Amino acid sequence: MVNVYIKDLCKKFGRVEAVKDFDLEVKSGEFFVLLGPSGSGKSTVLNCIAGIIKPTKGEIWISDKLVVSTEKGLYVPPQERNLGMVFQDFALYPHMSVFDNITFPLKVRKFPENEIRMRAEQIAGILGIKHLLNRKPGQLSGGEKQRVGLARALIRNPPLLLMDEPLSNLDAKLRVLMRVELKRIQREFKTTVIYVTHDQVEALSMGDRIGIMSAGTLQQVGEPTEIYEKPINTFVAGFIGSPPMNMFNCTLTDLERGVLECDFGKYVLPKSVTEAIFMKAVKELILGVRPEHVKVISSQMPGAIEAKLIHVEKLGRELIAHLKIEESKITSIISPEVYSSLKETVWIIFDENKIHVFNKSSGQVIV
Amino acid sequence: MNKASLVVYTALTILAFMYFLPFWSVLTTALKSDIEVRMTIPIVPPSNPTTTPLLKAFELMKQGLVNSLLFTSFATIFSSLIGSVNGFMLSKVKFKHSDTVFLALSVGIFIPYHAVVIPLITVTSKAGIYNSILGMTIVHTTYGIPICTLFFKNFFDELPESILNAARIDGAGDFTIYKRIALPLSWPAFIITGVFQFTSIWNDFLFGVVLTKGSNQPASVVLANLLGTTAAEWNVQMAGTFIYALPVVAVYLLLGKYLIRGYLAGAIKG
Repeated sequence: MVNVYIKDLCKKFGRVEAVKDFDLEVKSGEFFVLLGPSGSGKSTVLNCIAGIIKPTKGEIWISDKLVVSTEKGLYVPPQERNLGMVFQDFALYPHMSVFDNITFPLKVRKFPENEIRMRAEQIAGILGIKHLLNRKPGQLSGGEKQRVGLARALIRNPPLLLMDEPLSNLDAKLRVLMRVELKRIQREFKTTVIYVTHDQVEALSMGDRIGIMSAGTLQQVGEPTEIYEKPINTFVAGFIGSPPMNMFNCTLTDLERGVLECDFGKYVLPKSVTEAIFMKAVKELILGVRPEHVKVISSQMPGAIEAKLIHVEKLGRELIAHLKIEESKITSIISPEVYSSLKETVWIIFDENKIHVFNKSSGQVIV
Repeated sequence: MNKASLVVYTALTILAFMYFLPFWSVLTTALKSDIEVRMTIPIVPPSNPTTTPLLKAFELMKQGLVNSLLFTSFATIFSSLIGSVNGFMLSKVKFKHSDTVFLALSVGIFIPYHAVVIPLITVTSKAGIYNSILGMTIVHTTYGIPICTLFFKNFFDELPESILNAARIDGAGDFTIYKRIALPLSWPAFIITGVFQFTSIWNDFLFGVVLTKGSNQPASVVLANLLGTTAAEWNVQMAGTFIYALPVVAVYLLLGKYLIRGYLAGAIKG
């Protein structure tokens, strides 16, 4: 187990800044997930850690070893970084058998023959691929290839394991299985993992901590619940959660009483929120409410907003109600029981303790 | 079969027949006796087939064939190997100005043989390899490097970068990656390059005629002399032509199916 420390990392491809001002410390033994949409620079960060690409600026430490520093002109090639990596396309050597694939890292390092054999047996046992050792990668299914790729990355028992979207080429069912499997293997091997994905379900379910990236910069780092409950800006708020958070443009019209003029009409903020906004003296705001914090009722109540029920997605255990207030769209998660009592015209109430208020111009959170 | 395809097939059959006719004439003439050659037209099959012209032609061309086989084989192997290393470096390792190097090499493909003939004579004489099998091997190897490099670079461009990155992380240096991964994976490129090089070196006439004399001459030059010096011994000349074509035909027959697979290798991702 090692920790990884990245300081002020920048990477430019021509004129495009793929990563900028990136600072991060991954703790020893942690399962850290870098999450972001495609093109956000998360794979670039991973490749810089692996040594596959050289950063334009910055420093990376793996444990107490400096592996790259543009300032000191230092660059340790991937061969000497002592890490394992799993690739999205598995990157198996097509002309070698499974045995030769997973033992390649040992053969290159000239391990003795009997130790190679022993370790291969052991790792193949753990990953359940013992029966495949004589096959070629072309004869394997996606899930089997993934396990072989993982076995090859783990056979040297590296203190650091990098994974670049390892599950995105697998089918949905296998992905769920492998999520659990990967966590088990991480615990078993006691290795630090840095895991790159664009899938928020993977990130929330596997990550000890998550770092969210957008447009080359790290937006927020935190534990899954923290990221979900306290997004620090509109990007994180909109990116995490499915269906995404409802967001409305608002103008603060009455500072004293916390009255907002929103897309959908008037909304009065709770007192605690009003005080926080009062301190910031911002007028243009974005109001955010997660779908599960929008309560839908069938009859009018003080403070409830009238809405039209447009469509309901039935996902079994829960339903997603698509509603419209004037021209603004809003989604809510409701139970089947509630749904059966609803007519076309409904009333909605926001859970006051769970609303988010962002500064419209900066996108940063206020409350 | 509808009318349109009937027309197409008829036209294709005629064209195929016309394409085949010269080769057929070579074969028939090569098996005829001196007298029958003069009495009949070439396409008529021999009434009394004889191997005398073939044996005579082989006797005359023996040394030339050995010479050609030697330098063609060595030059094919060397130029393919060098092209393979070059292609790997230019495609996957990339170094400073590698694009410029590749551009310069590509220009080499378009230099006509004739433009370098006189300098070649001077250089090979000064190097002491003029009029030798070694000289022919070196000249053909060198001349084949650009095209071989191009073949291999195109092939390696198709190889996923992640395989090489995986190998780097697994601890392999550039040489190990080439030896253990790039080389074994590039057999389709070796087949294509090998067949191409073998055919073009075997068929080369110009370098042979200007860089060799007497017993060091390649088969192509010996064959031409056969045609020019012997007074209208058509059957022997055609027998010589037939013998001369055999190695290339053999290479195609032997490697034909791999050749097609090799051409397609880039198109089908494993």
